[in-house]
Amino acid sequence: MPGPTAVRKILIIDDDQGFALALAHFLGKAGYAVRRAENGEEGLRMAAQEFPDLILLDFMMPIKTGFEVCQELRRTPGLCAVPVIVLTAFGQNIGEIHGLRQGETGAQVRAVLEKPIEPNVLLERLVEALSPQAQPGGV
Amino acid sequence: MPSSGRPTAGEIADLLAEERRIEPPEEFKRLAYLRSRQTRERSWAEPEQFWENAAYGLDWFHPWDQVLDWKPPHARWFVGGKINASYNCCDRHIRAGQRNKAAIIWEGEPGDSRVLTYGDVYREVNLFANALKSLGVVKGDRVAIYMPMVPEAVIAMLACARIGAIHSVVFGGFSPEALRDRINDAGAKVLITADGSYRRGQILPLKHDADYALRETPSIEHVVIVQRGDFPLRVKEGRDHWYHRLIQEADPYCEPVPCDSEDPLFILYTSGTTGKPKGIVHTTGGYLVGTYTTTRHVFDLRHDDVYWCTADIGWITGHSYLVYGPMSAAATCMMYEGAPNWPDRDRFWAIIEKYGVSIFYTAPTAIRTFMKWGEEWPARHRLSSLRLLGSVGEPINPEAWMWYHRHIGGGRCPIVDTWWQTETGMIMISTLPGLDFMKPGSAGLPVPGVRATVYNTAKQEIATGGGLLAVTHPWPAMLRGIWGDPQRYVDTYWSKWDAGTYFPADGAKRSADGYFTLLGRVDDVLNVAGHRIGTMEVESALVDHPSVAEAAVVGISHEIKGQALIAFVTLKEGQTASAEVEANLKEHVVRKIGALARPEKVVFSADLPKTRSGKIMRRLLRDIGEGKILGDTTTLADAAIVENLKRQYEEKEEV
Repeated sequence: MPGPTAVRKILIIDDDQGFALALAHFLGKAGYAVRRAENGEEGLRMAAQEFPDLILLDFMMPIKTGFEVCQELRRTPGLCAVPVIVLTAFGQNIGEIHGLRQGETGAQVRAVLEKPIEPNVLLERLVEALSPQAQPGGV
Repeated sequence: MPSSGRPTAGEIADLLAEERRIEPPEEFKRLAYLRSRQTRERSWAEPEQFWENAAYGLDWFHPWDQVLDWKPPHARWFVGGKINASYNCCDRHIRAGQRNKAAIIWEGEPGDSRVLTYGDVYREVNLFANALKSLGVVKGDRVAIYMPMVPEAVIAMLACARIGAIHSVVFGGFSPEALRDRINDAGAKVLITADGSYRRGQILPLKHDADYALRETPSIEHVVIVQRGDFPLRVKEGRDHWYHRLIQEADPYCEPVPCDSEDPLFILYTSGTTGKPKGIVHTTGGYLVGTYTTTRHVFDLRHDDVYWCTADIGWITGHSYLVYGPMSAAATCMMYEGAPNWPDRDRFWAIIEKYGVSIFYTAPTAIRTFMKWGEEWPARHRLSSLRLLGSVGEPINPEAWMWYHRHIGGGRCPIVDTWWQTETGMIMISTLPGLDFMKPGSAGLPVPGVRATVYNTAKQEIATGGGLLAVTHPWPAMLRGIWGDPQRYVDTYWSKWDAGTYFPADGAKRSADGYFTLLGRVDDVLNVAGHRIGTMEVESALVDHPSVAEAAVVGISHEIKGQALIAFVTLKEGQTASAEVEANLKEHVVRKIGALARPEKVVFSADLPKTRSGKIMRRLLRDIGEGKILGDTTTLADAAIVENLKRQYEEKEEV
């Protein structure tokens, strides 16, 4: 478990590059170490190499969707416990439909935030998800 | 009574104790958008940091170099940033895959309806922006919009924003004279209007009215007419153009202009209590950040909400919470053209049921009218889609709050009672629906990023008790000036205490839990036998009586007391005015507040005269109270007389 002062690593997996770039810039200023992947496949590869503390995951992506990414994270030792926050333009219902909140995908989906996001609320969710007491389930 | 010791100048007596506390439902709290008190507390401690974070929620062409440059009373937010409001309300949602999401669900008064997706709005905004360019409109030009509540009104605003033109929306119910004065003050080059509109089954001939204004508006070069119906009108060749013809010929894509954060987005005229109307100037970057963020926090917006703000686009509420706030958040917005009682008194409830409206934001004056009509009207409809209610425009009386909560919200929907002004641009004080308990009649706490307090005239902070509301730190959606009158900006808003403290001219009281309760305009505070009394509290005590639908209290000169209270009261349907009811009402006020607030006289009125924005016409009531007009007040029981008086005073109170 990293100490409280350790820089937390966040991996953004999102094909909307303009959005991901601004988000990375914002999170960098907020004190996180940020990496970006442009699709699900690249995201999984980077996750396996870098073991992020948390993944910000888009849902509708080419090559591999966010749902598929969640499934693969589950099957990957060392990644199945990485907390995930889903960022999607399609509402929290998507989380419901795919059973994300119930944890059926196995990946640790801690929250679903709708796009466009309000960044202060994203910070709120990040702190919640990265705290040692955090439990999967709530959105 | 003032909270402690001798009252100082600027204190207002704290009369009406409201101790009811209502918690939002647990499920609402659990799923709420903003749900950490720390986020709000940190935002009050470090507002610039909070607003900078918030600004990342929008799409910028170029980032800002500095969050705030504050040389009191002049602020520049997101200095150096480049942004476009229409891009943030359309293009970015299309890019995010929401082309087919409903943006505007519109219903006309006769029952016709249209649904425009974000893709539709994007297409029309691009076409119309190009049409405006073809009429010679360039960045910085002013465009007047005199429109009914139809989707093209929103499209016109966004089209102006796309090319950097400054819109000035003039409420469609205003007279030709008011339109003329606003066009001339702004120096508008183009007027966008419609052939007409439906209101309470009648036709409002907008173009016809506009023609009167256009006789004396030398700056207008072109007029665009949206065809709403098939209403007769005169077209002046060369000057007047049909909207549908213009967009037929326009190119489908218009590059959004990268506007500076501080480029004006719009001018909106607000009536002052004295003098000519003030053209309140709002700029692009800060205004969008403020309205976007407050929409997200206060209305707890979700992807599948159907959000209905009933305000006309002619008011600031229509600008901030029908257009820029919700549309930058990709919300689905309900929009309705007509009156709430056409064809019947359940029109709003029928709309909520038909379209599954989930968030409903309206004004206390409307709520009191619904109360007067009776709960049988909402009871005819399934309102179970509603999950959040809002109130805006003036403080809501606790009894009206309870009625709204029970009969519209089914006892389950939280209510956000929002305090803000044309000048503030965005909601400033409100509970957050998933975080805070509610107290009927109390707006709650300053929203995240806003610092407000209560002062007396000497700028001593009043920790608990009544005084003058003050905003002590700049906020991004604040007005940047008054069009063409920089000194008036300083004198009106930033001179009460010092150049760094905003004076909204509203009285407020703060209770031990920190909640702010608004007491109405400072101009309406009365001095009765040495006690400063907010009319709002006496009105709330009267509305609390089971026979009363609505009440307005004004002060008239009184030889002994200095001022005496006259209460104008409308009774609920089925109740009859009598000397006995008058005595009961006076007694009721004494019981709720104290003998000092006993009205000298109760005048029963068929209707309370209101401006078109729903504000009570107090000047008219004062003149009646003092016997300057209408020797015999019993004639107020005749609705036609009230209507007639209203017409005589309308321009005086509103223009």
